[in-house]
Amino acid sequence: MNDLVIQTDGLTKRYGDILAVDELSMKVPRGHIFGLLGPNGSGKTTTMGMLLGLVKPTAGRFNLFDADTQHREALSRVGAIVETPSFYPYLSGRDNLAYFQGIAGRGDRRELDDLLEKVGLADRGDSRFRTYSLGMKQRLGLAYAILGDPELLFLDEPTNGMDPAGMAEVRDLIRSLGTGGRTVLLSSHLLHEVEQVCDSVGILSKGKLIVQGKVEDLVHSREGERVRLRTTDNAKAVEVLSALDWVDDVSADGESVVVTGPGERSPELSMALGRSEVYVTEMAAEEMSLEQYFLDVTGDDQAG
Amino acid sequence: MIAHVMRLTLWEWFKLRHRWMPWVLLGIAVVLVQFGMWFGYTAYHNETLQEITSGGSNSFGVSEEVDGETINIEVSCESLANEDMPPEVETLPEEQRSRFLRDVERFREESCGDTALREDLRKAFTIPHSIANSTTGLVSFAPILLMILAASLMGTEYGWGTLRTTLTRGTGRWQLLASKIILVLLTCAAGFIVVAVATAIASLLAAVIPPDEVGKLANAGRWFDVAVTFGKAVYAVAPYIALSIFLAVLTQSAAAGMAIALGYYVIELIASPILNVTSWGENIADALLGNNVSEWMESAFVTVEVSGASSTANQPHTLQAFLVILAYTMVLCTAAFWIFLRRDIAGAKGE
Repeated sequence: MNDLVIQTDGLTKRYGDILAVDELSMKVPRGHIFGLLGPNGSGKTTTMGMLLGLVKPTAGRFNLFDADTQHREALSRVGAIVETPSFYPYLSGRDNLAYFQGIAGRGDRRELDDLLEKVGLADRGDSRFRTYSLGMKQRLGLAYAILGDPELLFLDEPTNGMDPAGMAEVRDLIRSLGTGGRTVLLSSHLLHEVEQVCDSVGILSKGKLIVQGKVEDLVHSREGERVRLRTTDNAKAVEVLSALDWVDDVSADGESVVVTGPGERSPELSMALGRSEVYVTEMAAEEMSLEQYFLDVTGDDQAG
Repeated sequence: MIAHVMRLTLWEWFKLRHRWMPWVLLGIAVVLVQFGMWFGYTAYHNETLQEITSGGSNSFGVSEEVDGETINIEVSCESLANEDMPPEVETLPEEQRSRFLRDVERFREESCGDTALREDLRKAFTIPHSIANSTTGLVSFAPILLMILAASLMGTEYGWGTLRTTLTRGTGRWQLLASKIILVLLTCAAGFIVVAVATAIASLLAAVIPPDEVGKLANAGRWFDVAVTFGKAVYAVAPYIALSIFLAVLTQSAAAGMAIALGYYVIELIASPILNVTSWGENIADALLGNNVSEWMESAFVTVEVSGASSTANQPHTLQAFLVILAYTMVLCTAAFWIFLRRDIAGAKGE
């Protein structure tokens, strides 16, 4: 059995002069909850669209499951929400699910009841979709995505429009979905959500995959690079440390000074300040979050 | 693969039957056809309406000079039917009387001798002819209803963004489009059957309403002709369904698909008689869908006359009509599939 569920090689999508996805080569291991991150317009949804057969790639190729599996056959083992979940407005939530269950050749009404219960729509399952709030639509989208117990899930902003309690519920649901060998490809604006749920992430920027790896590894790779100092003279400390050529960035942050640079050289900071008669009263390496890591690697782009 | 398409068609019907639109369109079709049938019934029993229907007068009058005196003589169809000639006729000199009787005879042949018209009117509400008649009548406006239905069935998938939802589960693009086309054709056939059943029931009702007797009204035409007309009617509307589906796929919109398809239908109706004025225009008109559909439907009545059928002098031959309808259907369906299989599927457009 192939350990990679999604494998792309030089996947490219161009809309006229706009390069939406640029030679994307990405590997998603089986059984992982994989976060796809990137600023707005970085190509996350286009990438999902190509993998789901909605968008035709301009170049490159990809496999779902393995190279021998036909794409249409592979899609029958996939569940997905892409952007805002879209259903037939005049049908009830239950009938919408029954339709998608029916076209897949299944017809177990109990499965529908279980799914509606699981996503918290048991009491509104017979209401028309057009009467649903955005949060309820997302819940129905999740029920649709896990209909038929698929091996691979594509979830594009699954908590969009939900209240905090609903978001927490969905996070738990996604975590539970990631067990038992199922693979989840999750795209989310909420980086702390991704950090809590995902095993590994890929970060896209301007259509390119700039980094991919386990969340822990990525975050730890930058740990110690940001140091927070308290000194006897913060203004002078900023001046002194800015002059060091190995320091990447220095900034005053309230009563502290935040220095970014190679973690192994942080002891040299106090030496340099001491020579200028500025004394360090407190010094601590800042714990790196995925959000900080994301902002660092995507530069000036907004998180999206 | 065929089983998959049939399953999709079945579930497309599941969605369609939950909508108001097909039922409203069916209601319109039934009401319009019933209106036509009962108009025929009323005209059959009403001389004024017969005059309107026949486009002629129901009475004939002359003024003759006899011995310096003007004599007005008027005869009606009814009086002629009763062999009831006005007594003034006997007062006319021989030559004038002969001329008058010749004119009366001509009037009887042209206006009162319209047994064919009365027979047509009777057939319009007598089974099985009334069913064939209603099916033919239906083809004159069913394309409008079916174009609305087909464009809606395909275009709303783009508007609501549900194509994305459906296609991400391995449904298959050509299978989905094929199932929609099959569904519209089947819905069309089912709609024709409903209209036919409604016509049959109404015809039987007409037969038992005084002043007609059942025996006279329950026998007109052949059931075989009804079956042939039915098949031809479904074939005749196929290109309009293909046109509407193609336009909905092309524009990715139900509203645009409907508007352009209906616009084409109306423009063709206007352009056809204008084109027929010149010989080169006639050649173009021969290739238009509407003319070929008319020819095709009229050819259905080999043994059953259609009341008020328009002249076929400027219309193409039946075989040509068959081929033109087939060509339109095939080309439009192929184009729809070609676009649908290649184009990226975007999210909801909010229609």
